[in-house]
Amino acid sequence: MSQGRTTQVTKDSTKKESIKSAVLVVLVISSLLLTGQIWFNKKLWPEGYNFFVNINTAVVSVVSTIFGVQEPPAPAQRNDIIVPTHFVAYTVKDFDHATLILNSSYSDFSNISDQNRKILSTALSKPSLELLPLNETEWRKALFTRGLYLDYGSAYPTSTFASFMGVTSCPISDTIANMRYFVITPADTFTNDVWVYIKDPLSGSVYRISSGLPKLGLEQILLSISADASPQNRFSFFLGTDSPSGDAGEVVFDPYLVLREEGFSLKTVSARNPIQKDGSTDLSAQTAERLLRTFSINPITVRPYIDIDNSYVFVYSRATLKLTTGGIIDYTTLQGDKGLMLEDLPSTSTMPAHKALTLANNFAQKILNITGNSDDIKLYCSSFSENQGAFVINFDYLYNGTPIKFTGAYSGMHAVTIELNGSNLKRYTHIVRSYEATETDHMLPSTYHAVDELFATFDTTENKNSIEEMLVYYDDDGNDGIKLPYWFIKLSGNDIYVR
Amino acid sequence: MIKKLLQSVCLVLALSMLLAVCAFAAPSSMSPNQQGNSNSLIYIKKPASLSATTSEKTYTVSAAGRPGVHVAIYRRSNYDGQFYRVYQGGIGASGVYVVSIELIPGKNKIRVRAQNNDEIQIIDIDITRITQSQLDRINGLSIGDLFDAY
Repeated sequence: MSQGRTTQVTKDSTKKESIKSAVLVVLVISSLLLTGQIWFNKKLWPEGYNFFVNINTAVVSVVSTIFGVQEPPAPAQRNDIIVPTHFVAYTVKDFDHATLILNSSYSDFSNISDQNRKILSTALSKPSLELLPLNETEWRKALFTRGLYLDYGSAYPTSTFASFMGVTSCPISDTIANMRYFVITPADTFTNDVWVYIKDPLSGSVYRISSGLPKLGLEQILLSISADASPQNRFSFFLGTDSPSGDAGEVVFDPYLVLREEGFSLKTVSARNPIQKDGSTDLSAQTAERLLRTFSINPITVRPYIDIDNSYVFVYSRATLKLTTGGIIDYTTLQGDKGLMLEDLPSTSTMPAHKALTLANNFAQKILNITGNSDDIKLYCSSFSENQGAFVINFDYLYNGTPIKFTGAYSGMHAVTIELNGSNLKRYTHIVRSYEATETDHMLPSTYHAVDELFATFDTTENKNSIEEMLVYYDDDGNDGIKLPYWFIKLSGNDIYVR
Repeated sequence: MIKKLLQSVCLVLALSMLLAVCAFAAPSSMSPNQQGNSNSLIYIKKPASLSATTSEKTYTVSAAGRPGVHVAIYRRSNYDGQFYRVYQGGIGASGVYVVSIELIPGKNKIRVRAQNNDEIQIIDIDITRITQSQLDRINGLSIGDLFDAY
């Protein structure tokens, strides 16, 4: 009997030991997992990136350098930073006047854009004695047969615009103060030349100048686009829709808007905030480090803190860099501080406009590359202002030739806003977005139907019947998801686009 | 009884729908002498003088009018002189009406009919399409004159 009891006790002990062993094993495994999380997950160290992450980043950086993997060089000056908001080719085909609206999605756009730039830069280098003053009637005549019409969206001082076209000396700036509108046509039958018509957007004065280039190149372009040009796209003044009839109270359009009589389709795009996940800012250590170094912030010594709205804030020296959960990168310097030097300039020299634009574009492009946006996104300069060596430059996104407009919480904001003082960066704001094409087509109505739909929502007693601008934009409200293209309309006397 | 009542109701409904459609659709043809009873429904903006000469094959007529006015475009047949409908639509909230018409070489008589309830306005437009040979002769005449002068 005592032997049986001993056996029972032994069995109980063995069972207890087994349970203890199992519990111990579980505890050891848990502690190992927890230690791994603490050591290698950056989010669990409130002071910032932990020792092991920093070591890992430094090792990766050294190894990359040894094997010749360099940071991609800053992009050279792009020729398409300044793009026309309206780029129209018009020609005659099958006894009809036909028009094609051009953008970077057109197959031969790169060639046409290069030719355009060459023609404009050559014309802008000519002496002012060669300018021939004309009037509005001649301007409209030039738009009648064959040529290119360009509207660069806003008025630029002539010397600034010329510098964007790569022209260092522009004598005609003494005669024409500002530039925005151009018409380029082959010269008359007897002259082998390309004529450039320039309209000062502020004074309304019209001039023509000979570029001196042979017209064959331009004629070949106009011949090549004729297959895609449509006789149902017309300038407003052709149709008499630029002036009121008197009694009907109808809408009138800016004379040089191209009105499309037929609807057309564009692919929708999928938009995403690439630095946000599950409501908080999500950046890999490498991306964060590259971002900080671009702003000359030492990632080893800087200490971020998380703001009340879950933004990451890095305070360093006399500047602050903030990454919001909404995907905005906001860099500001303290008042009175010189700012982040983008290029070393002698203290006596002034920053030329085209150089400021290139610096700003290169910087923005660098940020765009770091945050991993898609290759189909381009930045284009949507506005440029200069005041005694200080520049405010806005860039916006262009997806496959169609610009993107922010609405909703980001209404009125640009994709990138840069403030420069000479070559020093004072303020930088960037709405980081990623766009990808979808396979879905979205049908857009004709210009007339779009205007009918908009005006059907207006109060009839309001006197809103003059349209200054109509453009197609992708409407991005800042949320992740599918974004559709729409007609956006600007009424005369208003700065806001509506749809 | 109920069946007959239902049949009558269906017939009345069908007739009223048909009448409604007829009331809004412009006639498919018109005689040249037909006239309207209004002159304030629509204003032709292009061609400005209600007649034009062009070398283009496609001519865009533009007009302005009150939103809701129904517009039909007719082309006169050279065979019997009647006007036959080629397009119809309505004027939207913008008050602008634009339509492109294919022209035949020579004279094209186009009629614009605007209707708003009982008001009808009829406007006739003459568009002459000159042929390529006529255009070449005009262009050639200018060069010939230039040389003849010397």
